[in-house]
Amino acid sequence: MNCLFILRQSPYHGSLAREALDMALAFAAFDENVQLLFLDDGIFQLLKDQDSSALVIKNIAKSLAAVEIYDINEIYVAEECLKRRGLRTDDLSIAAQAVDTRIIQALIADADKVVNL
Amino acid sequence: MRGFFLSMTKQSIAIMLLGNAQANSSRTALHYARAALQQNYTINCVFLYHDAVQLASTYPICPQDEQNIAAEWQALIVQHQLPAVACIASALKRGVINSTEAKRHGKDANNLHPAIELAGLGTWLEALTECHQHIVFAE
Repeated sequence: MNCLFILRQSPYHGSLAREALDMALAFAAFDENVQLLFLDDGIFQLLKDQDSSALVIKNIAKSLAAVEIYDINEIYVAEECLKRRGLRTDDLSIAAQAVDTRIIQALIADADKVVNL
Repeated sequence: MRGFFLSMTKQSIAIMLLGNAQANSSRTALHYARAALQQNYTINCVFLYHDAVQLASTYPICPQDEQNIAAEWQALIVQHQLPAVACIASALKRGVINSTEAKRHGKDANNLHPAIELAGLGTWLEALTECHQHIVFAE
């Protein structure tokens, strides 16, 4: 089953970003084909050089670095959301493919299940 | 016979909630679930994740002139015998526990509604695989 997770939560605003990622990793652990699409403030999860130690919250970038172990190879980030925040894919800690609206539409259309969090 | 066949083929819906017991999304989801059941859809899973595990607690107490959304969800689950699950990891973090977990963690009370089960994300994956459609009520 092809599951597209749309992750829109900023990394340290509450625990939803973490719990959303946990869900994606759990699905991957059950051998589902997982794709991640970062939208809106969710793209801040991907930023390089995050340090959450002062907040006493686990660093989400460290968990994202582990997605390869779970065989998650398709990671997308909305180009438009990057631009609006003055970011480029070089600013991200893992290799994510910047995609435009047309490709996002295709990803959603092609997925068996879309989990929008 | 035709009616019977039609009712057999009614679509099933899996519902995930993320908002807490006061969140508007939890109220909207309640209205959605009632409407779906009224139209003979089947709900194959109500999965409470993130802050929505509060809806599984029997402890919320509301003033009489305010809606107790947790209690209304629990009543709907009982009335229609809906398979309802609270994510165990989310629930334990937020103090929603059954007697087994209370004993395991040395707590002297438990508050999980008896019609709701504690389980992992595998249950949600299973529901998602089996349903015709699913809907996530985010925060």
